[in-house]
Amino acid sequence: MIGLSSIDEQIAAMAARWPGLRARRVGDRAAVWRGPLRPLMKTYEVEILYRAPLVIERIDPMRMQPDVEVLSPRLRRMARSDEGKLPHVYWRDEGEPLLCLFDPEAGEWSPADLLADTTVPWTIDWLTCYEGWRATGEWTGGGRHPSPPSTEGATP
Amino acid sequence: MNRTIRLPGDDPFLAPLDAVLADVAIALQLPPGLHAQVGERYEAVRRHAEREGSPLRGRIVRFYPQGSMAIDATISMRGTDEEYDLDILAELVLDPWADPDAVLDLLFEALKDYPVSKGVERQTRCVTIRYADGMHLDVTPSVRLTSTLDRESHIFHANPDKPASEHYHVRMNAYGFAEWYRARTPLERKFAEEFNRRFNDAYGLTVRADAEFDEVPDQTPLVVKNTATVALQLLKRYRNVAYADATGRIPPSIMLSCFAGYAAGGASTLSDMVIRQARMVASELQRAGANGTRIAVTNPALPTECFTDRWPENLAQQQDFAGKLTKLADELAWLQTADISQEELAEWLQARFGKRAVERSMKQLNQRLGRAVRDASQSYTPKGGVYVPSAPKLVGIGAASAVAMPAMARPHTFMGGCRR
Repeated sequence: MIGLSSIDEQIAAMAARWPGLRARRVGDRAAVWRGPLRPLMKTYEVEILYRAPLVIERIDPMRMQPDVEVLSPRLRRMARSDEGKLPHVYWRDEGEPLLCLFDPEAGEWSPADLLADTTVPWTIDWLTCYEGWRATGEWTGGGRHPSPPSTEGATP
Repeated sequence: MNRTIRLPGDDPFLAPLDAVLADVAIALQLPPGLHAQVGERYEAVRRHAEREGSPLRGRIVRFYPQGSMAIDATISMRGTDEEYDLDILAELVLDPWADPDAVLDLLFEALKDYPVSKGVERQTRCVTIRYADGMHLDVTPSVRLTSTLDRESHIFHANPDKPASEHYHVRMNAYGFAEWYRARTPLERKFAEEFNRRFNDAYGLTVRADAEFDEVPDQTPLVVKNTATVALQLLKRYRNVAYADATGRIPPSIMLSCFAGYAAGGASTLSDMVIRQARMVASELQRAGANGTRIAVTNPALPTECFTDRWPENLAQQQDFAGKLTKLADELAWLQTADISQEELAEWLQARFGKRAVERSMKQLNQRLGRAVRDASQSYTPKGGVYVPSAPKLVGIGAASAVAMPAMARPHTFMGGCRR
């Protein structure tokens, strides 16, 4: 397996490729990035939290993936949509949902990957599809639902 | 190895607003099926008018397009999304000073039995043939004036409900105007290439992804060739929507076309060109109003032909339209840098260009973006913008290294549900 990317490598790559995202280191192995992304004409403030695993840890992409949250504007739900109230997110008990950007079972992402090459572009893709879904009611970016679309987060 | 990427600098629709406006304009175009039939139809009408026993047998010199059709600026009719008015001039061998009512009757006699499901009707200046698929062909009789510039002609005005004293001849040169317009709006290669690729894509016409401009097959004609003409179509559509409930005359297309010709030229984005045309028309209307006169726009190919002889009927009408255009231009200028979602933009566009056309264009945009995400054919700007080319192009790494390259995409699958 390719070596894991350290948090320093992640911070450096993010700074080089996405200069608008500001990094804040959290302890030895974690960091939080915050900043604007503007896929089309709307600017979204996003936050990405990531903790680089230790080599000895069991690699589980589902558990280890970065947390990606849209801070503003708040993501709007839709009362009637085949894709659910808000497609392709992980609902949480509290707070806003996290974006679900890849299939953890398909080997699309691992801690060897740079967030700058995966998480951020995929967040831009997600926001692009979200805007289209809000405008037309159709999520055209593909994806799969492991279970029936969630009915959580019904607040429009 | 070559990577498949299209450089943003090649794309006239790089800015999302310009891409959306192009999609709206595409939704207004004559569909490719009808586009292909236009030439055949007016030839068939001509053959019918020339048939054995027709009162026009041996009297037809030529049929040729006029108005929007002559300058490739046809859009769907006022108040509809699926009906199209196409204008043909029938140049006849008659006395140019012949009685207008008699000339129109003669043409009607020649065409009244033409086999179309929705009938043939005599109008004040033309004979309208209505096809089942929503196309209307307006055939206007004309007679060339001798000793004048090419195709300077008379057309004939005779409202059957008005006395003969109100019938008259109109001196015009539609051909000369179209020539003038075409000279001012030459083919803009990159613009036409991208616009027509999007047009073909919208109608499911396959054009190989890396096809060069000259390789586009004949059955997918270049519907529109110039930024000014697409901007003109948007402006005409805006006028149609703005005056949807109006009962009287509305600002004439030919006046807008003339200003589009004057505004053409120079590198300009589509939104910039709509703004430029709107401001130019508004400014001229306001200038006339300030002088207490109605605007007089004349044919550059025939200065005695006034395009605004029937509109505006009064100063209030021209002031009202100037106000509408100024507001449109101001709002578009604001949108060029506004922080606005696709949903909010769609709402704004619907109010100005019509619900169905904008819904269709938004769906088209969403499909194009979604397909790019699924195929990983999109790329990104450092500020988090997504860039989706109309069609990928093979560019060698060596060539690409000299310009700012957008970051490439990597395939992934959106998921959802419960994480832990």
